[in-house]
Amino acid sequence: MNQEQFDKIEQEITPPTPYVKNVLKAFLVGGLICTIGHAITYFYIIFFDFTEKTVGNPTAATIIFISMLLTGFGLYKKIGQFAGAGSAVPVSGFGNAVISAAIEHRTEGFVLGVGGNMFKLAGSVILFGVSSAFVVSLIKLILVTMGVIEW
Amino acid sequence: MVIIFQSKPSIIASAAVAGPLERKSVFYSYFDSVVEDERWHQTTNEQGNAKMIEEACQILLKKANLNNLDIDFFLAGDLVNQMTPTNFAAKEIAASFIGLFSACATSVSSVIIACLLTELGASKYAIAGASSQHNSTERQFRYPIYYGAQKPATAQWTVTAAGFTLIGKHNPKNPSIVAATVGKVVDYGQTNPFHMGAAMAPAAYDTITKHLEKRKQTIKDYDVIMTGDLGKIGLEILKRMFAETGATQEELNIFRDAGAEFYGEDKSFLAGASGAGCSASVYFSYILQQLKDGRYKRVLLVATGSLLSPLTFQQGETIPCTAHAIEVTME
Amino acid sequence: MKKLVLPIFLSILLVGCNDEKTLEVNNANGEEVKEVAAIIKNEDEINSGRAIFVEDQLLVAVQAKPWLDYKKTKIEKNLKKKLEEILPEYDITVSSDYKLYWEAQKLLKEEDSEKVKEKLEKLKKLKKEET
Repeated sequence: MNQEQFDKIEQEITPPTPYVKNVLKAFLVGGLICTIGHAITYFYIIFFDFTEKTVGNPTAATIIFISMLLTGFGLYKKIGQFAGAGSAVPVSGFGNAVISAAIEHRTEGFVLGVGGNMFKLAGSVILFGVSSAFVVSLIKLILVTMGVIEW
Repeated sequence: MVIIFQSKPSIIASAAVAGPLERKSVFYSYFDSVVEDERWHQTTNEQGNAKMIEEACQILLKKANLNNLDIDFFLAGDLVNQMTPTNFAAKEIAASFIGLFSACATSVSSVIIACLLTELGASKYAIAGASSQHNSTERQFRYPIYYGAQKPATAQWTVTAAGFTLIGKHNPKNPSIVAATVGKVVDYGQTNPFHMGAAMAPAAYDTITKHLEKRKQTIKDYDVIMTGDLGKIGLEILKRMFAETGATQEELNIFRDAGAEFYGEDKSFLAGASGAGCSASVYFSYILQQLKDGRYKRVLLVATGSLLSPLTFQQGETIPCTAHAIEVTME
Repeated sequence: MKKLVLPIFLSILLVGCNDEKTLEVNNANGEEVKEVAAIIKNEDEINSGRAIFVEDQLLVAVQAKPWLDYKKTKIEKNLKKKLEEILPEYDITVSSDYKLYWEAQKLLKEEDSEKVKEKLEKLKKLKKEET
């Protein structure tokens, strides 16, 4: 059995990734999470003194709190298996990455275990989030200076 | 390299224990003990893994009516870094100990070494086997267990299970090991750690063909050829490889895979089970029972292992794989 | 379950396309109300508005049309400019924020002008908050 023969067999038998199905599932679940998020924004706007400008922080915190509970009860994992990017991309996915790592490393103590490993997965989100935010705001600054758009 | 054992060492006793999720296994009724708690009532998953090994060995000794001082060698391995659970369990068993790592093929490689020691006359009783615990293995090789990453349909589920055997001198009442093949490391350039079946299939193919060739046998000489944890897709690939080289459908039906069958048709486990404990717990409970009951006369147990680490695949290396085989017969 | 998905989806879509411009104003002198109403009617980008008059203060809370959310600040600015031209004697606050729109609804019913004024000050303060 040579390499080409094997590669052919492997490709024939391995089921193709169902991209369309995955995208649809991700869209539905991701959309559902964002709808819940929006419901929470309206809740804070209507019942508390938050404006559209300031409501983002409490909403994100609430979503992360819910995601923390779901992670701890092992439900987020199941949602993740179904939804893929749909549950990974919203802020709840970020919460899940932080919290699951924290739970995992609890046995090594609070400082070296939880503290040292909490951002094991989410660390790259922070790094690339901050650097892409920098690039995007730079582009916006240039466009505003040129008068193409306004702030 | 094929080894033929002149003295035909026997499997005097065997024990298999499993975790709570393994209740769903089709082999559940063959397991000696199933614990309610994934961590075996310990504080950490790694301690739980060690406790699982101890419990399996205790059941094994009880079955053979021996105590731990009668054991000459303890040969075992698991999937956690530096095999610490096995090391800690070995401290309790207090026999001469060699830790072995052939990933998920450790279940068979340990038996081969135990047989060699028995053949040599150095060992009267040797315990051989392997274990894996889902949580500690996932942490070792993949993501935190509660992390919601989507696994593809080719991914497999690491079992929480341990299988151990007691290898002693030939005894016609027990299944005996007549020959073994220590596999080479085979690498067909697979890089996806969520598709280990495809990476391991060529290793199994290589070991099985070598074994048959050297022993001058055909597939039909066996009642069953059981691979370790290729999973549903890996087993299909292996069968196709044999089909391409002229095996008939009847012969292909002789091939089975512990990982593919472990959880039955349950879709939530994707391509099936994996882990050192998967092949160990199935071989050393179900298969040995079938041999003892006379349903099988001759089986070939081919445990497959993918020798990767999280480090190597992140560095873009391919996944080298191996497969070790033992030929077990019942007179 | 699957049978329900399409009707629900369609009804959400249809409700979202309801296209009638509304303008609510609290009790105030007719002339100015008409002027404000005319301006808001002429703004294509606005879906609905609420105007609160109290003493020399005017709060106009509007909701931009869906898909035009990104232009909010521009809409606010334009509207404020137009209103200031016709009502130079008023201290005008224009906002497209939902919070102000929601609170404006409560103010519509409020009779006591002292309370309205107090509330208005608070809303203006809220509007300035950044985080």
